Amino acid sequence: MELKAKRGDFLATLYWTQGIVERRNTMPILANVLIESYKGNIRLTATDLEVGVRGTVDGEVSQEGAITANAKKLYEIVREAPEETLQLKRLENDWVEVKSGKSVFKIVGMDAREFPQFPNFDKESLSTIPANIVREMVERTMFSVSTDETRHSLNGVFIEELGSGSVRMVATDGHRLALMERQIGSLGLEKGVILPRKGLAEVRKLLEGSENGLVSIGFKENMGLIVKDHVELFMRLIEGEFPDYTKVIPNDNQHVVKVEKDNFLHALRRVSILSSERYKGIKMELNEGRLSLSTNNPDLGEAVEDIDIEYQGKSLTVGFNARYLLDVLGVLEAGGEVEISFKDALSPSLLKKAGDEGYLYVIMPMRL
Amino acid sequence: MRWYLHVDMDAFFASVEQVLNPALRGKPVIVGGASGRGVVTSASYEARKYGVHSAMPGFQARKLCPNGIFLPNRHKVYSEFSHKVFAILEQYSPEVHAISIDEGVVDLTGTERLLGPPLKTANEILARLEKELGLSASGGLSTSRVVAKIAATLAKPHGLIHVPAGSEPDFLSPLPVQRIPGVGPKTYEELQRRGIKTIADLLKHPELTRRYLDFDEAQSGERSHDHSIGNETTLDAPLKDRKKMEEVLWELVEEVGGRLRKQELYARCITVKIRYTNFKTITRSRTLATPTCFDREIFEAGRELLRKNLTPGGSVRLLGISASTLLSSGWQESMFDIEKRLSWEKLYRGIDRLRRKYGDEAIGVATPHSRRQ
Repeated sequence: MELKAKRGDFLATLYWTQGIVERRNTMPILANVLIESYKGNIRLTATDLEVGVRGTVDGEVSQEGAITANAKKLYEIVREAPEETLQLKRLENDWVEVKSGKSVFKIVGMDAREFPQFPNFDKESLSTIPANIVREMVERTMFSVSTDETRHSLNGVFIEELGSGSVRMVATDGHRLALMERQIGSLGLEKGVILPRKGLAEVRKLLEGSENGLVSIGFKENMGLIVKDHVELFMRLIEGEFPDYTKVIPNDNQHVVKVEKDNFLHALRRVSILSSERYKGIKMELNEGRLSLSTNNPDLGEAVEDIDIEYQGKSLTVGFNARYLLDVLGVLEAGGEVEISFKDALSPSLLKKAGDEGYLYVIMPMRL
Repeated sequence: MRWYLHVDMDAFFASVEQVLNPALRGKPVIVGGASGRGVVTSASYEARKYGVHSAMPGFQARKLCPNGIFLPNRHKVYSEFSHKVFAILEQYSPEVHAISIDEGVVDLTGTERLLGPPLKTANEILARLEKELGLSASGGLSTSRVVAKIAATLAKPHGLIHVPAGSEPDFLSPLPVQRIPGVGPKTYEELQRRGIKTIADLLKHPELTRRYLDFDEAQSGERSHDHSIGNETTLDAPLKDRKKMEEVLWELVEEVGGRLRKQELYARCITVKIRYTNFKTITRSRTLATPTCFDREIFEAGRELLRKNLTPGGSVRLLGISASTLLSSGWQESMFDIEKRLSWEKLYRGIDRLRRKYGDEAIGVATPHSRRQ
């Protein structure tokens, strides 16, 4: 294998491997990036077996072949390379030579045949969707994914089709649940699947700032694929049953308040300054015409803030983890109103953005 | 001003045995340690004359008191008597705090108008325990919980010490610091290094006083609950069979669960204690995703710990389970379990009510009790 490429192009594609390569060193080859050059085509691949990324680089192939090299070290070498042109060559014993101007590196590699295989997706079977919708759906659900590794099926975002082109994404950690639904056409999913958090974090990075453009999405066996421009992200779907989330979405919460979103967010931020680091407990007290947020922390002090609302129902006090509220308010676009409905101090409450029927957030109260 | 009566039953298990079998009265009765392998869990005052005390290995007790009457532990029986004791205490105040099976605090604050002076009420309570149950108890009456506890210990056996309001420092000053609950050998050593031997010495250091002798603890109310609630038992015969141990565990759990619910507390951490016949002792803990006060969840956590940590073939002489990181608020339920847990809450509240009324045997759980038949 021997190739020549522009330093900047090579670096841009190599960048995507950095978040993916295995840090824990369970299998040495997983710390490496696979470099392939065939028929004028240069491809870089990295994986930790759960998530994989493959990107192409423009360049000249003078000898076909493949090799793997440590992804982190290669990235540093390319980043610091002195000239605009880069030459890579496979040496004997699976070493890799990286030349740029007068700088020459020879780094230890590993045989490309040891690198895990990726499934081949039929490009025809992929669905094409506006990138900004996918980004929004990921951003507004992913923050609710459970970090408890013993609850495997909650460690990802559930995605399913509802028919007639509607797709739903749901994430929960048992204490809160985020659900978002959009019309994006069929994805070819027969039943719902669970996308792992690490994979989605990469998707989010890939789609960061994408206001225009399209992505392609597809599923095959136990893998999901998303393609944007010259980068493909693979992820192994999480096995297991996602819980029946429809059961926990309240539909008879009678006490409803509407509050200006930004007002509410800022008041919450202020009041939660005095809530405890660990539990972030705050109290929401509902009275006629008034919503009071308060914290009372014996070690620090107390805070109260009232917000005027239109409310005529009975008085109610519910405790919440402020972080869970701040999280959701943080992913909603600025402005507008949110609508929160309560049943009682122990049952799940429901938060929606006024005017957006496709998004909802269920949040469990905190015992006070 | 607040008034607390600390009630501590005298030689509780042994006294219960004497009540149930009058032939044992006036005799050195020793509960536990019958096999020579277990430890004494309770010794009547007649036996204590020989130097026998609880937690002493059985063989040693036998040596000191060869004529002692050694009886096996009958935890169920003691637990029923305990309920009777607390049933009497609860007639005097809505705020009765169980500390263990044979110890409790009655908050007599604000009962003067209804019941008369606290000292009179305290005397009446102790007299009723003796008259109605035949059990002797000691009491400490004070404006703070910790002083009441110290007073009750000093009053033993069969006494009542009243520490009038304002005289707490005078009462405490001459006492050695070890009298303070929570001051163990380690703290004692540390205090001694600083030249503190008596409580009078301690009172000269406001900061240390706050740490070790918290008079105001009573005022801070709800926040001051126990650090843990536990129950353990020395087995009558060593066990190797895990299924049998689980049955013992279940009985221990019922007690712990009942006490948690009585104090309206939830435990985040469950610890199992296993002592083998070679005296090697291990404790293993598990932190729960959602705090619990439900027997079945405590038992599940305990069983799991037992399954994971039991040395195969090991012969076990003592089992214990305790609940710690106790909370009354500040956590979130899982939305997927909330309905189930709210129904358990109702269920267990009902069970507790029946048990208070008709005794522990009134209602049982089908598993794993039924496996024994």
